[in-house]
Amino acid sequence: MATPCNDIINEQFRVSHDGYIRIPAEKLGSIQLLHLDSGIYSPEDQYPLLDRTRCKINGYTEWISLSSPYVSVGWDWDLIIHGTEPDLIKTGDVYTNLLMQSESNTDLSERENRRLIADSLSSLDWKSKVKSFITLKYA
Amino acid sequence: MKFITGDYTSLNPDMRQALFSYRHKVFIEQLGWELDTPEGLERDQFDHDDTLYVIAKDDQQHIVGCARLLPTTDPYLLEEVFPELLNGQTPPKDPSVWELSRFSAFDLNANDLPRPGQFSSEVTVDLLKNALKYAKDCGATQVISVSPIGVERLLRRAGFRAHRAGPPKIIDGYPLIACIIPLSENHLQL
Repeated sequence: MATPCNDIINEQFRVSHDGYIRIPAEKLGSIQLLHLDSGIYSPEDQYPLLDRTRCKINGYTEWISLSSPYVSVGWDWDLIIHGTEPDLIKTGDVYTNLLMQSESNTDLSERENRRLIADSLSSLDWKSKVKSFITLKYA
Repeated sequence: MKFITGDYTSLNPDMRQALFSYRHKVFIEQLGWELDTPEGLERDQFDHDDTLYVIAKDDQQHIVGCARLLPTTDPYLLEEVFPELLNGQTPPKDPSVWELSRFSAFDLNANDLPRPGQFSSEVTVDLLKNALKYAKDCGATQVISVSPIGVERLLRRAGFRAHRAGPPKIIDGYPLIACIIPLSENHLQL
């Protein structure tokens, strides 16, 4: 689990009065995310066994940027097991304090903002991190 | 469903007793929060004369939901207990920013009690709308709340605009965030 470290300050990020960190959209690719936490929603509520070879579990994962103030991005996932191969699939929207702006410094719509952040996750190796983390957490 | 709003002093002693008893059953007996409270009642230092409440009652007059509102000009939960959720920012002291806390929409008389992180949707949304409208009527333009991440999901599903103020903090194994709800961007028609 990553531990937020307040002695590293990112001068590029500033928290607005409404809690958002606003950045130009083209800077999104420069944000490096670290794994913070992952978990299963109400483990006692999970009914994982769909049949003898398939099961489904759902949960969440949370990621943060390297330095303060922290960009925070979280999303939900389904863990689906077909036979012996577990696979994680991102479900639904991302949840974040990051709001990107256009070249004219206007806020992107929340929908567009979330879409761009979700697209950027394709370059993040989150699945293996979440799998190993929840394996240890619920072992 | 009936919603009652008022400050601490406007609730009669029986209503206050019923409210704090309901909160004890929900937050301590059902959700397992470890709070130092009087026997059978859940009440803390933020329950005082200036505190506002929204209480949902069913047709049998049972409490099925509650919410607590505090102006950030008074001491409040996020400021006093969880300031690190604000991503390094100073907790607001602003008459237009109010805090929502002790939010619950559990019907304790229902056969199937929700588990932690789950919500009975219809009461939840109506209660939330009533609480936000009450805050707005009191001059709030923004409501903040210490919330489990599940509340973000609930708000978005219900069509509310809201976002986190920073990364979650893991408390008792569950991630908590500071959730910001801008009232000007939300429709609160009841």
